[in-house]
Amino acid sequence: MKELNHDHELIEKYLEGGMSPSEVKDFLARVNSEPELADKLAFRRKLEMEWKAAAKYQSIKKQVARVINMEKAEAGKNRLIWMVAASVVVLATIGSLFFFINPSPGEKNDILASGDSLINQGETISKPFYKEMPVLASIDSVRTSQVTSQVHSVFSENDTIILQWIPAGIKNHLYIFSLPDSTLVLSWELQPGLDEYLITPGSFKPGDYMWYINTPSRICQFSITSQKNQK
Amino acid sequence: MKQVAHLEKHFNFPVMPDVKSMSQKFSLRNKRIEFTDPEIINGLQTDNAMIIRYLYKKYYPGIKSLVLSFHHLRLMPEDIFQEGITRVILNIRNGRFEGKSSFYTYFSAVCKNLCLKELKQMSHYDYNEDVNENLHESNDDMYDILPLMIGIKSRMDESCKQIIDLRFKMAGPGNEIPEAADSEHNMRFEVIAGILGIEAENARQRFKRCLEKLRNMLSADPRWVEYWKTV
Repeated sequence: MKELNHDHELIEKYLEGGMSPSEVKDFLARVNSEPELADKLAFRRKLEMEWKAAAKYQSIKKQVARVINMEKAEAGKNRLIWMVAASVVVLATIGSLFFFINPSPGEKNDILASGDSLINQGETISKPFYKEMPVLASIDSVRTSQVTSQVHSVFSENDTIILQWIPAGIKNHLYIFSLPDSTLVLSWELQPGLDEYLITPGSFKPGDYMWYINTPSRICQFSITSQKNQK
Repeated sequence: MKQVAHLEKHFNFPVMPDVKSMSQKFSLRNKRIEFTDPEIINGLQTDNAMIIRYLYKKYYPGIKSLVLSFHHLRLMPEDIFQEGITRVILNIRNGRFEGKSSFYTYFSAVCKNLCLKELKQMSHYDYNEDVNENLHESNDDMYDILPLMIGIKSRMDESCKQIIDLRFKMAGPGNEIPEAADSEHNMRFEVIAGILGIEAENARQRFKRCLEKLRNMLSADPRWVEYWKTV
């Protein structure tokens, strides 16, 4: 046991360069003449070599994995951009088909661009997403002018509803009116240079409706009541 | 140097100053950039992530086809690519790549042999019959033992890993190792004791105990026993 410890200590001393030249000479002479000691030294050197090699290998492999993951992430991002672009093209195609099939609401429905002075007499409400989105109505016929996502507005079937929206630098927006089950009732595209739109009496049958801009993310609800009911 | 800094920011990975010309070359992102074999080898020697990225983009499809041609579900193209490139980098840095064949021929031979070895391990496939001749310039069997060493290292306690790393002068990130210039010899226990704030004799005993543990763990594994016979 003592000899084993002594060999270990000698090997360690040799490997740390702690032997004098004469000690090194004696040690190497022993290594050459004693296979057991030579084996111990070889094993110890191999352990050190493999320990170091394993650390290097691990570090390189980590680096390779990191770079490949980065490359994959970028490729994934590019793929996403292409998918979004492709979706936009598909949606645009579907959108244009929709308008081709359903002519401009301005031509078909009772939606008028109005310069009427009555427009200025309504109430203006603020919505954070759409900036200023006033909903106006003619002074004689309007029962309520509030149309918000929180408040359920009620109009009479004889009311003339005037919508005013001044979008800040936003183009290609659609006003969409639908039934609560999402059945489309009316839609039209904002016309350049026109900020007010007028819905004449009788455009909507009495009932509940939703209206929103482009997508039903912010829905306003309103009802049209018949004249008889109001009386 | 300014340009290098700019590219680092642009590409989000480190650009080595000594491969500035490569950075400029690679910066032409929309054009098809090719690196020559000496540029690739130089880049892999100098720890250049850009080259690894380039190799992944350029050669991964080929390696994937190669791996898939074995029609074996256990062979994962990405794992083979990572392992292959890690071994190639180590071979280049250790001077084992002699450049007798083109880089891709060599790299694909490494990957093919990895596949064959995997298959051999899983079945009684005759690995030696199909071993690629392009690999004869470098024997990569030595890497097979490294995952075993990494596994054993991960099972050792932190104080053992720390003292062995110190003794073998392996600096972790941010750790400055004294006497680093004298890489031929192990670090003296007096120095280790100074770093760890313990007595030199304690450091000596702790190292001895940890080395013995490592030796026992390795000797208990048949893969190491088999490997040790071939050394």
